[in-house]
Amino acid sequence: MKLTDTSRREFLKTGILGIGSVMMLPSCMKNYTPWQFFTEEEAICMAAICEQIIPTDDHGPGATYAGVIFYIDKQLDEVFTWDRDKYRRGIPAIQRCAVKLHGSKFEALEFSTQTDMLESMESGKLPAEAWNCDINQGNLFSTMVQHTMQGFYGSPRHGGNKNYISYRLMNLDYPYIVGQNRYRHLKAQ
Amino acid sequence: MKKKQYNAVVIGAGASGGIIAKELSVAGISVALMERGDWPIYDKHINDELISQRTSVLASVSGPEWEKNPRVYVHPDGRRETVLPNDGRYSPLAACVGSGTVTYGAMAWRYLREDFRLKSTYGPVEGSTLDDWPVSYDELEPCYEKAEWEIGVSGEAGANPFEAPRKKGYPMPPFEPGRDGEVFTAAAKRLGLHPFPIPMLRNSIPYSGRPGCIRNRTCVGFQCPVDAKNGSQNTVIPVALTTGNCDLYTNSKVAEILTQSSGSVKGIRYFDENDREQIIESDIVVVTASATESARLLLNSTSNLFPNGLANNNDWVGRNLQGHAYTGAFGLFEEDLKEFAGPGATIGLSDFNHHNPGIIGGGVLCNEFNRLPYAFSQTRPPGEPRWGKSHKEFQIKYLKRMVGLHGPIQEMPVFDSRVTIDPELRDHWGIPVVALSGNRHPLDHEHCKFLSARAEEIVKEAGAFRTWQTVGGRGGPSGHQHQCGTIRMGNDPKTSVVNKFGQAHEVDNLFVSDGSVFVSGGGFNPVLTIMAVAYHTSGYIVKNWNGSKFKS
Repeated sequence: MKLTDTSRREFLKTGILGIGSVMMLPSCMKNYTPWQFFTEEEAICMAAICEQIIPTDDHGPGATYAGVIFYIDKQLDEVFTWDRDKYRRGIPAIQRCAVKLHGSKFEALEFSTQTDMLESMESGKLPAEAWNCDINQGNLFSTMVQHTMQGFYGSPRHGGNKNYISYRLMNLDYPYIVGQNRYRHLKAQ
Repeated sequence: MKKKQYNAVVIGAGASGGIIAKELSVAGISVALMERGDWPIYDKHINDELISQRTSVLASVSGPEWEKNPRVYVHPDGRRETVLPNDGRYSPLAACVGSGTVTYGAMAWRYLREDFRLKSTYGPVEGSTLDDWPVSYDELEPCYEKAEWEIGVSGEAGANPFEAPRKKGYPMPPFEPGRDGEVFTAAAKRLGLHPFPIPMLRNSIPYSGRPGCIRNRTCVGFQCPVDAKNGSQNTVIPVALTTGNCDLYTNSKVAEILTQSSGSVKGIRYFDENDREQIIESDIVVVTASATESARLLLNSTSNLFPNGLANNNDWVGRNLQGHAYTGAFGLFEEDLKEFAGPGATIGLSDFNHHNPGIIGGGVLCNEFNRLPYAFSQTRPPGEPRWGKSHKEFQIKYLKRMVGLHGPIQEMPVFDSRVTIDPELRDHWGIPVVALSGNRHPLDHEHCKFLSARAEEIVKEAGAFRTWQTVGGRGGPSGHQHQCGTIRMGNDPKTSVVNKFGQAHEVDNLFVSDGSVFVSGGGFNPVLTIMAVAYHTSGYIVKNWNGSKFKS
């Protein structure tokens, strides 16, 4: 599967927005959102960051397909309470830097421009005046990398790794079969 | 109906507590076995890496509950930070019946003769409280044998030429080496070394009424789905309960050991499963709660005679906290070497445990337990990207082609590396919590460098096209899963807390038996030695019991 930068971006946007809008159809659920922690804007930006961390490539789908954003959203709500503030204030800071440096929001940037931006963020080099908050850039990015890896390589029961996609990529059997014994029977001494 | 009075209270149903409860109750001594956690239930966590006891990203399957059990980590600059069990600096151990023996890797090492005589072998070490054990290998040998046969070990007797003499072989044959084990075995032999199958507390064939291992991928860090991993929860504790002499109190947090005005202990105060405060009276108390929690319990049990904590008038309780710095080397190979058949670690070599030029002690080297996908994503050679396209490619290409040899280094005990009680922080039950402080001995890192270099030589010889070392042993304090040393056994009451049978020098009806009593941690995973020490202690208690107390 090969995607151009533009189509990947479109795919990502429509994917995320699509889920949001379909879920909002029933009129009795006007205020329904698929997100437990994120706002719609935060989720779209974060999903683009996840796709950077584990991109779709010649080997197969990446973080967007695997639903990593749903893993992070769910765990920020249910478990990672201590990381909430970092995300809440850090994502707007990333957006401010994207607008300042490239004139548009992070998710709308070219894939390679996004990569460059995250490399700067990893080494704490996004412009301080645009970043303009006391969240450590490198530390927030490390947290985002870890959470993305967990959502992509962890069990699907936590919201990510849809259809065991990472297990398929790594050629591990899935769902995991318990009880097989492929080995010769050992005899008692 | 449970009683309020027993001959013995045993605190902590882990590797040693289960054994002591069984040995005492079989001998007709009534036992209350206290456990802060619950029975482990396989269906609760199945094969989920993110909540496994080894990764603990979203939860710890065997506990303890994070929010209810904080600790304090003291930085070198004195700053105090509250840490929860999902933080490595917490030194977490499982809180359930069986404790770590439910989810462990289950390597079953006998320490070598030298491990009990480090000071005699190497001389005193500056800045370290290194000493000999008051008990020798030969005294513990029958206890090792009992552990191997009662709990159940698979292995090949005589395969390790450095092992001290044993009277009896293993009850089960060893596990097969796996592909990486075969490659490392051949390479080590070419280098003149002596690889052998790792002895494991795991059934290679059906044993003791439970089935043989199914080579489950999710093994270390997980409970076994077919119960082929041998812990205290599926061996000695069921036996203890069957005698009718042992009551198991689950979800019960012991807050304090109660003393009489004479100084001897008379029971415990604990919080039951509904957080209600309760008292149990007993003739003796045996503390088997791990190096951090056992020390905490003694330090929290103050009285007129023991203002600094029970049996602590010499201020040695909580000191000499040790563990194992892990160190070794990885290599990348051109072929799939990792089969992901559990448990993964199959071969070891003991060539570098002792008598290495210029270093004190050493450590065993083994191939690795299965590194599951998330844990693998956090492991990369130096300089490799941590994210992006090439990170993903590495993950796909090398999950089965990155293997290595690692081992636990013999750490040098440090007097100021220690467990204390935090003056402010309390846990959910209002009990003052553990504070961990101090540093490792600087030699630990030097010793790790030596062992990692040896590991890299073997990995290279095995045909890796790229190798790198991971060198441990810096920072501090130590502890972690192999925590030990905090309630030292010794012959001299001035420089130890308990005698060689685990009996407190200052309180003759108080015993301690777990990693805490270790004088040094050895260059091996400690669990079989913890079990052997538990048999040694319980043998002494049973032998000297006269029906209500000790023979005088």
